[in-house]
Amino acid sequence: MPKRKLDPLPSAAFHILLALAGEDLHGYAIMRQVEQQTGGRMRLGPGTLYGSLKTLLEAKLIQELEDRPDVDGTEERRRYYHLTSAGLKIVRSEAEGLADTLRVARAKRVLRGAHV
Amino acid sequence: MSEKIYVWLLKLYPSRFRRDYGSSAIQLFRDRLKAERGIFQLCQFWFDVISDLAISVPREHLRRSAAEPSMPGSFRISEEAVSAMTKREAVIPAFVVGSAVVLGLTIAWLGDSNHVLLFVAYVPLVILAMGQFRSIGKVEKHWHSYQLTLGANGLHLMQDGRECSLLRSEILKVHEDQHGLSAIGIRGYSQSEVLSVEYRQARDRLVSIPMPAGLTSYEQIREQILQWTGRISQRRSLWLKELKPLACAVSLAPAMLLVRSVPWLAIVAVIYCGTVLLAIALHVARPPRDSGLAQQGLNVPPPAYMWRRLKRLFRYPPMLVLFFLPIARVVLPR
Repeated sequence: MPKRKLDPLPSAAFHILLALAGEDLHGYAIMRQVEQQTGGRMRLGPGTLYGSLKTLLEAKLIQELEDRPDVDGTEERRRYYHLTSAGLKIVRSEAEGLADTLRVARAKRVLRGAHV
Repeated sequence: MSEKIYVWLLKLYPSRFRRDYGSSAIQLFRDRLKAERGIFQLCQFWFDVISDLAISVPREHLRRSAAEPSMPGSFRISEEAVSAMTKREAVIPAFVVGSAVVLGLTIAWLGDSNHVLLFVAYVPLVILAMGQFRSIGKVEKHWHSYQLTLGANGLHLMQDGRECSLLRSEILKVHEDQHGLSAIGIRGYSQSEVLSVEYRQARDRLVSIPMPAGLTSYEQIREQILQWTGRISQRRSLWLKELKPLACAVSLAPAMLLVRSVPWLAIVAVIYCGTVLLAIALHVARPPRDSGLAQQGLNVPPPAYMWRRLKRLFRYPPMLVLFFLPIARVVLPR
């Protein structure tokens, strides 16, 4: 059932998976990473972020880390999330789909400037 | 202050979401609030928060949760069914009482009566309406915690941390209406032994296990119970679980009329109080039928259930308001 929820993968879920592809992050760091990787176009609110994380956890695309990194001694209450191999597979296939779309857009000269 | 407002807004989310992510969401809100500087950024931040709520609150309420790990043969209620039960048991009564209070206060304000005293008379109803709204979360939580186990020999219910069981031989009656099944029985007594049970014993050991229609594998459970009992009695229930909030809201109509109808004040008051008393008498004197004990031929002594009902009725605040508000209106100075 959760698989059905993520087909197609919502934009917020894709960006969260992409953010977690580099390293394990907590909620606020995921939000900042998503903002950075979308050039500030996507600012995830707490409801959207944790709703998406819940869906991704139910689909086993991410997992919550039991052993939480304690970066500066003040972060023991934060919940860190880790991308699973299934999650990596999904985000890779989604990114490849986007790359194909980009190739078509380039071929049709839809894009201008730096994208070309 | 901003954090307090956000904590309050978090109550809009379903209890399950708040339990799982409430503290993380507050932490995220706090982090973002710290990072935002200046009026413009703060305004943008609040705009983001409100848009986020507008999108995520309905989505979380409509979310179908993944099957929770449970024992084989145990069943839970779907999210849609929890919403439906909450609507029937808490949202609609809250809306009915809330609307009646708002309407009553408006008419009282527009009327030519003593505003202060009439508003004082309405205070219990305002408290009741607030209580009704507060109960929505509790009812939702109550149904979220529901877990029914269907064994080879009977039913086992876990809800709100409490447990109760009913063996197949102990089931006296099974009702079915549009909202689901309800199995009733007396713990420790089989169907053949029920005639020998004293009323007090029966009352203390009476168990009623509801099985809402939104239960996963409802049909399987129904089939199994039908095999056990051989019969499921059908009936049609009202759209509201209990009529007290509705009665309470309707009772405000004559009270509102009394604000203006000066010449007919006494007549209307007498008719109204007489009707209320008659309704109370009929309610109290009605033999118990819900328990299924009467149909089983169990001797139920009238004074016992009548006193119990009367005490329960007058412990219910709306009932007191229902009866005393119009009387208070009659004696209030203009």
